[in-house]
Amino acid sequence: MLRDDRRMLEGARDLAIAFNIGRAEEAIHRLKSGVGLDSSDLPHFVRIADLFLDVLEAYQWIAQTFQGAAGSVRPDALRLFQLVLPAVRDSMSEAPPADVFSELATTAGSIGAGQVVSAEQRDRFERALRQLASVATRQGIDALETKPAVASFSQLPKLALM
Amino acid sequence: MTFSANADKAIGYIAQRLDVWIDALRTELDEAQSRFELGDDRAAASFLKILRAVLEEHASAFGRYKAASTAPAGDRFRWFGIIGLGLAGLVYHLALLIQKGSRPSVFTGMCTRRSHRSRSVTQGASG
Repeated sequence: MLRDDRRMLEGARDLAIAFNIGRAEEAIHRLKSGVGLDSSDLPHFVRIADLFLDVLEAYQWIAQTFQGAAGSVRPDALRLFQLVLPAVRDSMSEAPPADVFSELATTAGSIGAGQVVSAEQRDRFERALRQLASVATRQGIDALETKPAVASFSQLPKLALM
Repeated sequence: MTFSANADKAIGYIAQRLDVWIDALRTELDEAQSRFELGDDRAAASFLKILRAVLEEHASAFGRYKAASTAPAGDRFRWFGIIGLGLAGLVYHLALLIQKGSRPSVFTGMCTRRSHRSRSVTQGASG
């Protein structure tokens, strides 16, 4: 696969991650307002849970590498780790990385399944989602701007508001 | 005017523009799909169907964000922003598909290269 093609796919995936996060955040807002989730909300939380599990897998592989006992890891998981790391850096000072990723995956799964989570846990989850959405949208647009299709890609959102 | 009223006004304005953009993109995708189907370029038409499905996902999410009138303005701005960037991504892929002379991409490489022309997608996107 050509480098630009891979960048384009990564950009599309980053924007899809941001999309899932937007849906999840809105669903959590509804939940906090006393309105329950509906069946269309669940896939977004499942995808977010899978994302954090992939990141956990990548982190464990990196940790094993430093101990000289690494197996293999999917390149996709490593890239997701790079994507998520800036978004959860603040939480790293409060808990070991593996615990942070594991808790975020568990929280996503629990909320999606309609289970009650603590307010603190939900706040940490929301904070991570906000930061991750910001990183994902920025990287998504950067990736697509590698090869502008029609004009400067960064102009497009502005054009929509003209 | 209070900050809240100003924020509501800005959100209303952005929502209006996103509505226009979604409608324009819907039309643009449908037209492009018809052209590719007429040209018997089924791979390109299939890819456009995928883009169309993604657009409907965005339209559905946008509907929810518009309805979330009690959510903090900052959150609604961010959610609208995600939709806007998602739509920009769709415009990018559509433009790459129909742009004459563009290098075959991982998607368009599956499609027969043709000399289809379309009116500027940025015209459609700008409403």
